[in-house]
Amino acid sequence: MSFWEPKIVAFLCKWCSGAAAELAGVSRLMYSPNVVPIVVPCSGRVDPDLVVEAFMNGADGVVVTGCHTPSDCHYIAGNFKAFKRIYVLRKLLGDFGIEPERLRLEWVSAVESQKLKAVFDEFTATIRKLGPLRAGPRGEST
Amino acid sequence: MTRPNLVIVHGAICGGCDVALANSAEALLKILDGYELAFWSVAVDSRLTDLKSLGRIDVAIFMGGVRTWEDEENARWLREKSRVLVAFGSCAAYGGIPGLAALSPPREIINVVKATVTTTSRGEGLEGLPKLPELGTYRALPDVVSVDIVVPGCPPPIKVINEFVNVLSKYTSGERPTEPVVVAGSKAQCEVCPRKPKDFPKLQIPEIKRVYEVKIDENKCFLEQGILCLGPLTRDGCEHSCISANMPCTGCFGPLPGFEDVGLRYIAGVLALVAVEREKELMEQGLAKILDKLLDRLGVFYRYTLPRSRLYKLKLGVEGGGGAK
Repeated sequence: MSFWEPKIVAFLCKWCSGAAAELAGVSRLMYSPNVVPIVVPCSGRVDPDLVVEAFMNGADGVVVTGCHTPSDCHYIAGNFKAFKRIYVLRKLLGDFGIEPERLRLEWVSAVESQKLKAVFDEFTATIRKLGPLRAGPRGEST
Repeated sequence: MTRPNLVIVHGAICGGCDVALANSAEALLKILDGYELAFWSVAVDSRLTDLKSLGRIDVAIFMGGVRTWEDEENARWLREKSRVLVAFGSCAAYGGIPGLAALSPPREIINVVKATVTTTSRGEGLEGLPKLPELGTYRALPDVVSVDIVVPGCPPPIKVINEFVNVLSKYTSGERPTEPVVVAGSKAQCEVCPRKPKDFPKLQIPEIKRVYEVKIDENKCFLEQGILCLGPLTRDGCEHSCISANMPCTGCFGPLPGFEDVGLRYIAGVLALVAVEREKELMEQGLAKILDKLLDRLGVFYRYTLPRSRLYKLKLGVEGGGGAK
């Protein structure tokens, strides 16, 4: 019997997804407690280094959410930068033998708290299915 | 007065570093003048037992990556016995070309070699050869032991080898560098590159092309032409033999100081410049199509630095710490 629970780090952009998370709170929507949301100024600010840092510190999955393309981004085109980075980083993870499904990018606007909840719940289910990133007792205890 | 002694030991290596050192004439003469060459298996008749019989070593030069258990044992032994340990060449410093095989399990590598290499001996495959040391987890030298001097380059150009000999001469009388000295510049290649982009703040990569697909303009920045060049992230200090031969930088001098992982920084800083002005027209599908042209991600980002990348360390950690220090 294993006591492993997925650990998920979510990077939310301040202007859209962050606001959606606030709305989810106000609307008393319950999303998966495995997700730890971190609000950043823009999804374009999420450096691939941050994603890898999260994985190295015990995250089993990372989800990045930003404003809808093409024109919702507060900084004009930060979401496109995020797309390019996450797109290549997912492939690079695959090259290193780490499932690309552990990294996900979604566009969530300020009113889409329902979508945010759905994304978090769905992603948690995906990670639960994939199992812990780290093999052995280390992954289970941390 | 006895001269300090110097040994040159190999890990996984192609032999290019030895050739570069032998070819450096002046630097080699200075080394032969100033030091007692106690061990260099390609140039002096010596065996590993001769090396192990040395009580203390002043300067140990390690060439090549740490591939087999024997390499690792040698590296640890050298660290213990020698005053100054030098990682010579990109393989020792960053992992180098053989480091690209670090992601394949050793058994798989051996099987490929056994299935494809023919020998002149009667046995099948490698059967006729003496037993080779077993492959371990591939690592660059600084990930196994602490090093005092790093000489990057694949192979290190003569200019750098001369500089290295000068650095070495500062440590003849018993001391060692307090922190690793890298015999290379600390600026990016781009800062000294003669191919400056026309409008630097508006630099963009229109699309990704491979070298054979395009006739490269000798005066234009590689990135502007869609050729992925590692110049923005690579230390300067080489003789620019690639750039002056109209080929993009592949990063053999390793990442700039303060950068750990070339690939992640490249994705963050350079790949974000892909089709910047056409983003809204191309949308995700269009951008994905352009980025799909980048097929050999490991070969472009990590040609010389894969074993030192954070992702490689993450992978080792994920697999239960096979290479954890």
